[in-house]
Amino acid sequence: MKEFKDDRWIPSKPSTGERVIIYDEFGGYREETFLGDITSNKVVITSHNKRALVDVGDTLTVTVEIQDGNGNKLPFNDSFAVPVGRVGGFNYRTLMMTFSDGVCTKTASWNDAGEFEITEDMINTHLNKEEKFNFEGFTISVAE
Amino acid sequence: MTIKVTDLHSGGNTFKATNLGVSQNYELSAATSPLILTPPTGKVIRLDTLLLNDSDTLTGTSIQVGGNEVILGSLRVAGSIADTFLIGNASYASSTGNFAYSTAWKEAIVATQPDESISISTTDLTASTVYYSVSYGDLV
Repeated sequence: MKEFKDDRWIPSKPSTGERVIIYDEFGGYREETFLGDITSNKVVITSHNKRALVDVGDTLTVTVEIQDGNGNKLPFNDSFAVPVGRVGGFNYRTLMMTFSDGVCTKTASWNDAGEFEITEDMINTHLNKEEKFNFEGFTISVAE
Repeated sequence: MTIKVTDLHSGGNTFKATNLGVSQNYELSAATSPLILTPPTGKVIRLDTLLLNDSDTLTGTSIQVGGNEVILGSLRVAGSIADTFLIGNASYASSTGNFAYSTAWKEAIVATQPDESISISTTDLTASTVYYSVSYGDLV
């Protein structure tokens, strides 16, 4: 039976429908039917399409979902801090995102003009490898 | 006559977690069954959670420990129907502020000895995404 261990398939990648063994970081493993590439969970901004434009001093409300690799909303109930950076610069602020049943609606004021971003690396800054999310990125343009 | 006590037994063992696993998901159906979860060598496994979205149902779902069936029913959120279950407790507030009060939550399932596997199967032909998590540890 083919195995997935240390981030690679041994001896080769299985075909869909094959029974496989997948090891975790602790040395435990699961036997299951291979259904395709292992996809990470993802963070998806559902209120905007990759970019928001806001006037300086105004608030911006963004809705975010935690989904599995197939786009199904996950029953995620927890909070985590999301770094926000200036484009080309350092950390600008950190926002607490609180999820209920996989959805977070966050409203924040933007009092400085400029270009700000949340990248996939920022989302995953404090997460272990197995916990990392896919994220397409989000830009906030604050104009005066 | 005097009885001399030679051994004192403390009763059932307690599971002490040494590793807490992350949440995983799997498309479970009759065709993709079973999902077999095995601990690292020398460790005991505990199935902490087994959930699915509130619009899904998996009829004829069973959990086996070391090959012995320990629970059989429909995996679904609506606990107002008999023979339904979810493992664990992910209580949440919906958009209307209600908790999943109707869910027939069942407690985590612990293997009886080290190296023993926990297996999850269903006879439902329609696949549903199940979300599960395990811990590894020792019986102390």
